[in-house]
Amino acid sequence: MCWVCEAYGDPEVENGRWYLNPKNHSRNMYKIKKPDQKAAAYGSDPEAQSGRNIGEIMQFRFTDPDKFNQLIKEANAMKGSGPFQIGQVIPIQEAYKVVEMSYPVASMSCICRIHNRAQEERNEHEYSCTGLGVGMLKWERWPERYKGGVNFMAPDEAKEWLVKWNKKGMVHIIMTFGGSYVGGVCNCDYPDCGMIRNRVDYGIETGCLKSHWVAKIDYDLCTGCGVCVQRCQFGAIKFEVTLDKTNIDQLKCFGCGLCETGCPTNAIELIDRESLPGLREVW
Amino acid sequence: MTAPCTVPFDCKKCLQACPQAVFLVTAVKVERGKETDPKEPGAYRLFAPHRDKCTGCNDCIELCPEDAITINFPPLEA
Amino acid sequence: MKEIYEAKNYSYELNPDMLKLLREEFDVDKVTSKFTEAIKGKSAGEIEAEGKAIFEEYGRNWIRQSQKLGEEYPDRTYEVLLEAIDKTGGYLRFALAPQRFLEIAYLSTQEISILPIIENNVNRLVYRMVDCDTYKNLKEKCGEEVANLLPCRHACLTACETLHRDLGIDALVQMEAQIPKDGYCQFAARRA
Ligand code: SF4
Ligand code: SF4
Ligand code: SF4
Repeated sequence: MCWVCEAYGDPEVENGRWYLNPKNHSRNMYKIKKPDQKAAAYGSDPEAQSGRNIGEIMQFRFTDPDKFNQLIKEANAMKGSGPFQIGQVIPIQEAYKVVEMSYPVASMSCICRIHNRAQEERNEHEYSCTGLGVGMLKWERWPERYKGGVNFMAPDEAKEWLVKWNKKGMVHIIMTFGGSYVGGVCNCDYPDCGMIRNRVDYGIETGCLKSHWVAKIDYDLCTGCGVCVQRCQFGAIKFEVTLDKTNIDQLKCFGCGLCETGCPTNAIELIDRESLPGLREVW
Repeated sequence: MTAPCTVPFDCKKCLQACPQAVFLVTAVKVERGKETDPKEPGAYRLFAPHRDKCTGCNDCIELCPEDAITINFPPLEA
Repeated sequence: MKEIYEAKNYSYELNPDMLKLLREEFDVDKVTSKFTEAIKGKSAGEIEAEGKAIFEEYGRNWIRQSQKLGEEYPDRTYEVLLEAIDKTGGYLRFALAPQRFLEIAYLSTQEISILPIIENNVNRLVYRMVDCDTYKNLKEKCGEEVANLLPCRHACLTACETLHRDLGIDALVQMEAQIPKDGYCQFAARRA
């Protein structure tokens, strides 16, 4: 079973999916500070903290590779209890449910694209990340993080916007910001997305867990057009010359559903990961 | 591998050209309630956190107008 | 390209003067003393009736004043919330608009640093009081038996109902947990 669902899901709500459990989307707006308590400094939020913790592990790549591998094993074994953000890939159908439920929903600048490709996103036409929940009301505290703005969206607008990025080929990843609190749905690709890269290149799992789904091709419908090969950010699909069709390696598949939404003949369907005995512990 | 560049956003050539996405740019100067000016020299800095993925293609070195990037691979062992 | 963004010196937290005004007027110590006086020598049935009358009135005034002062003392979080509501359609006032006034009401009168919000979405607003000063006060003044009748629930229920009615939001308010049985009180407003 998915360990995040085990820890934070409610079996009676949405099949136990943790990110569709309203409790993980809820938070107070205000806090009474003690008289001597200073406002939090920039970079003390869970996101930045998690980034620094991963950065520290990453340093050992160069100085002590054995220790590096050991630390990654430990970080993965900590599961959600470690000081790392939890992220899980979700297909767009589930992202719709998230933006229907959470409030407010706002588009905003992606921190990975700006860091790793100097890709600035300065208005609602460029924003590629989705912020969720009451934290969005206080974005002005961290203008360097939000690059001067956020764009609040009604649920229908948010869905259209998700479609836009899905069409371009972005994977949706649901992210926590402290404990199990869901603070965003990222639209990500390799290699600029830190979470995907940390997982695919370095094996750090917590920030980019596989989704509850896995892709399956119907060979009778597949024409071998290759659209899905281009859309897969995880290298799970290749063109198989022998069959003149494409082939999906379900062990590599993250269940993002990009191949499914792109396939012109609807040859791909997403099936429940836990329905396959060989995959139900692969997250 | 080092990259003492002070104006990453003005140029960003290496950041966008590297096939291995080796580079990263981040604000080293942050003031409360204020966005860091991408045009201010030295406010942002260039790092190469994924230098373990560098293939030595030298594209970045050729593109960098400031000659800010150097790459060191250990010599071939005899 | 847009200019460099610089935020004004905003406050995102509740105004301390507002909280103080509310605390003075709606001190839980006062209302529990009033109740203690009123039930002296009364029978069980009368205690329930007194409790309902006193705490309902208290709850109504408490939330109305919290709402009034909440409007008079905005903070940046509220201003941005109003912007968001404006941009996304008034229907989405629920749950954050009522949540803010409830947070004001509880944070001003209870010794808590946050009001635990269990759910706040388009359908439900659910919050919890764990270590309630009103209950503790009642226990001290009237004994555990009377406190466990939870006469104070009328204040919370009335406050939550009145608030939604005053805001023009059609909501059904329920109590989902009670301190004597569950260790905390939990109130839920479901959008009708
Ligand atoms: S095979 Fe399809 S669902 Fe699986 S990771 Fe690739 S694009 Fe996503
Ligand atoms: S997109 Fe669909 S039809 Fe084209 S190769 Fe992939 S599965 Fe086959
Ligand atoms: S030399 Fe290395 S860092 Fe420079 S562009 Fe090539 S791969 Fe990237």
